[in-house]
Amino acid sequence: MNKWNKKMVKKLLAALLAGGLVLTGCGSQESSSGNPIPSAAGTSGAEAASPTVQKGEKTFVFGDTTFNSENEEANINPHDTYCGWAAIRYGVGETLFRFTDQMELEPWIASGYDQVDDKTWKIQIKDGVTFSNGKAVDAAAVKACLEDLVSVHERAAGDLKISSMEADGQTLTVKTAEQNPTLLNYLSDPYGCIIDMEAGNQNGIVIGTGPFAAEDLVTDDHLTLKKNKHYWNGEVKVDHVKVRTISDGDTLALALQSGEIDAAYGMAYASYPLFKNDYYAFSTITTSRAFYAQMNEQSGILKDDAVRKALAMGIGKEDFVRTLLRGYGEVANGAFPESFSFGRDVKAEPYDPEGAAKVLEEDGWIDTDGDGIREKDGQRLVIRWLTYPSRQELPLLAEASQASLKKIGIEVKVNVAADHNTLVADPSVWDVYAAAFVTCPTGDPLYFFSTHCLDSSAKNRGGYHSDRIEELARQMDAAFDPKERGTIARQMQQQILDDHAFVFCSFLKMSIVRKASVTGLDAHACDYYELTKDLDIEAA
Amino acid sequence: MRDVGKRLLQLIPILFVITFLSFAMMHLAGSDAVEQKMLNTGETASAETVDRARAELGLNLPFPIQYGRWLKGLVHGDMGVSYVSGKAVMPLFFSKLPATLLLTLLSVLLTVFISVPLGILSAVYQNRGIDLLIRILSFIGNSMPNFFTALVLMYLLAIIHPIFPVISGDLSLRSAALPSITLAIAMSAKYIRQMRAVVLKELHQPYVTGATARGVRFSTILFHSVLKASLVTIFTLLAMSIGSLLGGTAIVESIFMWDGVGKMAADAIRMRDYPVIQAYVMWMAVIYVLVNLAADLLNRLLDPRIRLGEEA
Amino acid sequence: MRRKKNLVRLILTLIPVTLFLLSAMLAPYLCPFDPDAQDLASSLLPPGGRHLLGTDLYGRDLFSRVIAGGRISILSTLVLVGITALAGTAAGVLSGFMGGWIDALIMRISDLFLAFPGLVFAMALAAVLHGGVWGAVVSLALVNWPKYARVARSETLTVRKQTYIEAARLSGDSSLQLIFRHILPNIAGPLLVTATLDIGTMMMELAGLAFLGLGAQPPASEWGNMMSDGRSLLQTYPWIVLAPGFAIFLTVAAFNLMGDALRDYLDPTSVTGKRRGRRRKGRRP
Repeated sequence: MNKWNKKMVKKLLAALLAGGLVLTGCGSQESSSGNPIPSAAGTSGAEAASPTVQKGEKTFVFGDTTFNSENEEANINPHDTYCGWAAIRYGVGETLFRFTDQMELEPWIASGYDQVDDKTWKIQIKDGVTFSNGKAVDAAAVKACLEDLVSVHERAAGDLKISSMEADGQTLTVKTAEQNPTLLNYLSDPYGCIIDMEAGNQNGIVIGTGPFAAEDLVTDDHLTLKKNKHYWNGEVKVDHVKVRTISDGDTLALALQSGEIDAAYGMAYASYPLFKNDYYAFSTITTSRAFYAQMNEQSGILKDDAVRKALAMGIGKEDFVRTLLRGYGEVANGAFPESFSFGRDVKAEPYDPEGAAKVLEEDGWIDTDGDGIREKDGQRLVIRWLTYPSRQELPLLAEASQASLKKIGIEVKVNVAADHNTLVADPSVWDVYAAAFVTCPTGDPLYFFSTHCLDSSAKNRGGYHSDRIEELARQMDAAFDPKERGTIARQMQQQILDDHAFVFCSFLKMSIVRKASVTGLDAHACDYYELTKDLDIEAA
Repeated sequence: MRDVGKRLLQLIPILFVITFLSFAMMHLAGSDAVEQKMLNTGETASAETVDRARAELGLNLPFPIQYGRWLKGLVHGDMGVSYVSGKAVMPLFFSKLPATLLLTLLSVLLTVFISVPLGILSAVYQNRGIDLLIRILSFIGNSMPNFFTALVLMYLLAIIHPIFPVISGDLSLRSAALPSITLAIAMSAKYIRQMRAVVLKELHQPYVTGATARGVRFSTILFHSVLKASLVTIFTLLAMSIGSLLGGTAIVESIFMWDGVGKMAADAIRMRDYPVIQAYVMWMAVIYVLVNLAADLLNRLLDPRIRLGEEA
Repeated sequence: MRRKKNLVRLILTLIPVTLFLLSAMLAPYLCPFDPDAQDLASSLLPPGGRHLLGTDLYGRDLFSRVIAGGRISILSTLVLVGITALAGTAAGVLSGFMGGWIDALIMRISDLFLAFPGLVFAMALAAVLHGGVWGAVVSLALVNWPKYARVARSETLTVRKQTYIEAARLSGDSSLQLIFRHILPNIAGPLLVTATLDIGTMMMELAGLAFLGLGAQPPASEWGNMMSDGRSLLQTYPWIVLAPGFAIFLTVAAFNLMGDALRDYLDPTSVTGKRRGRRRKGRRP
């Protein structure tokens, strides 16, 4: 080896360095710069790559984890599965009514309504509302849109129960086949987004009444929008918008840090601390996405009310929310957040490990062999906890509960299974099923109970039955007054809590993280509205 | 040439068995596109609605019949429609291909540029400082999961030093840089070691000793003889890598939002989007056969010895 | 002389490997804390103090989790490489030794598995085995055995031509005896080397599947899974990702060094060139 030509080595090294420098050279000097987070966020990092302002026009880039065909948002045509969410969120379309953050209805395209009788509603359309192509919106246009909706969208047809409609100027008369107290709520679901049927649908792009008009759409990749010059509700401040689908939460956070996007929706909690500084702002709100544990009433061990009660008392919701969700959650009592009118005045078992231990002891569950787990009649107190990984909070909840229940002598065997739907159908393989569910998507409190608590409910996985709940559900079905529905909803929540059929652990606090230069972008309790005419971005 | 035709003909039974196998696998995996979509949207559809949706896609049929239907479509040049996005599979697949091709090309080039010189250097300086350093680097590269490399690179080269974008906006070199480097790091780590081993072996061949004794310059020996002899190994390895790269790299493509075949496959598998999975499986089989064929042809060209052997 | 030096090197490299294996086996006794015990009050503590490597989001002791994770990671990787190598070798030896239609059949089957994407296997098996690391192990084994089969086959072909095999056959040894007495011992070296060097790759593959949700799932403290799980904390609490990452690095390095040493010991072509010469002869019909 000594005959080795030194010059050659040098040449080789030089070539190598030249090539390698481009790739790696830049990273090396940085380690000395100390804490890189603020510097990265504000200065060169953000601006160098910023697509914000071009020749006097404002461009806004939005990163979203949810805009993809896996969520049935392959395009923005509201009459296609869940695509209405994209139409509403990105400001392409609007509904007749909209939800306040207390989940109460307020007029949007409509100016008001009269309820003529149990099955007839007269809805007034605002004067001066136009589609983004300039065409005026009248009752006939709304009728054409809704007619198409109920003919092609099965879920909408089932919710709305519309039998006929009549258009007269700006007045739309809707008749329902049976009494439907929640008609207006469902008209405010994203599928109720009003679009111009005459303009048709090019490759999933529709014409709505919102502040932005869609230009280009590539499923699972991006949507580009331009300012709607004809917007009926005031001047739109941003000229161009690009919505980028970014499925990975970490990539989303990094793209916001690098300045490639101006705001992000769907970031992991773990990334939040990166944006807790002057260069970014959060808009956070409690939604009705609940993380709950559903008891299997057919399981031998949970037939015992004392065990269910102890579970309700023994799960450390506070710790879960504070530490694992980093405060980005609200501790739950009932099925709805306290910010909703029907979410108040419901009493769940408070967190009380000593009390839970006592309840178990009195019921005969005692740790006789000293292994920390209680037994009764030779049976160990082991709970099989089934949950799934696709919601980042659920494995956290499972682990938190495992730890807090161990303290009162209950062993929790966690099964985080992607195929939980198959497993949950077999009541012999699980005791507690923890899931996430939006309990009140359209402001209708009956929705959660009709999907989870009745004998006929598709998601009544644990076989829960209560005569009183069945009766109250029938009552609510016939109640039109929102106050009365709220009262019944509170009674129903109290009943399922007293029966220890569910433990509601927390509600999701949804956050949109944006650059500090972005204003007018706020999170909403119903999770439908994102981009509005108020969206603005300061020139850097 | 007759040989090439024969090899291509082999593709047909492979495709047949493999597509059937993948249908069986999906059947085994349980769940289906209807269920996955419901899961994502949190929809509470009635059993009838679900059944109807399944019937529409033919998911209620026994899987041999589903396979038969798919095969029938294929024979007529119809690869079906994605259960998830509702788009025709064939154009969907071809729209993803350029991104993956670009990524493959770039990462292979990078890999060659990194691993060949480093491998030679490491071998020539066996057991000295630089060899040790290169080997440690290769161990590090070898022990970083792809997703981790990707995150570190994004952090270093897009945030600390905003040179490249985190997410790809288009099919440009700038966009492709980070995903290609991520892939090249993992591959180079492996190839440096292989390269080192091959060169070491060659360096100890009698012809090298002989040439050195005759006073031939070392660099001449290295570049004319040793490198040439190592080419066979390099090409064989590269062929294998190209094969797997062309199939797309699910993780890297997903992280960088690189709209290629690998991301398509990962999404389709998660969503149980059978028609798209089938397209992916077929593509994998095609590249496997083609890449092997190409590697064999190339090897014959480069190493005449193989022609005599029975292993060809 | 050289061989002796190589032996010393091999033994030296065996030390770290043995240490890793020991720590994997004795993991329950080495953990200072219960690796799964949560203590939300001491969540995300930096390294140092009572917790040598700090704590994770759940306040679990990272040092204990890395040790416990090594048990799963090293074990599952070894099992994976083990079954892959054994199955592949069996198929390859059979193929090379028997020849004819058996050879053709095995090679066509291995073609199928090589051409079949591992992700699809992983998906199916994750569902059948209800997730977890073993589904990932089996699916990776399914796509990787052909590699060993090819190596084993070509080595067998080489060995089979040797005169001493003919001699043994003439002296009445049965096929089985031939395989076990003469072929396997002669081809074990290259296969063993391939296997050792494969350990790092397989560990990465397992980590990748965990990342895609098709491998080990939380709360299992498997290294790849720990990295994938903690990746969002890379910028804020880097030790959570770096601790298992460094463990992977050390393990991969240890096994690779051993693999290199093993190769040099078993195949000291570098000095004599004997083996290579023999091989070339073998190739000629």
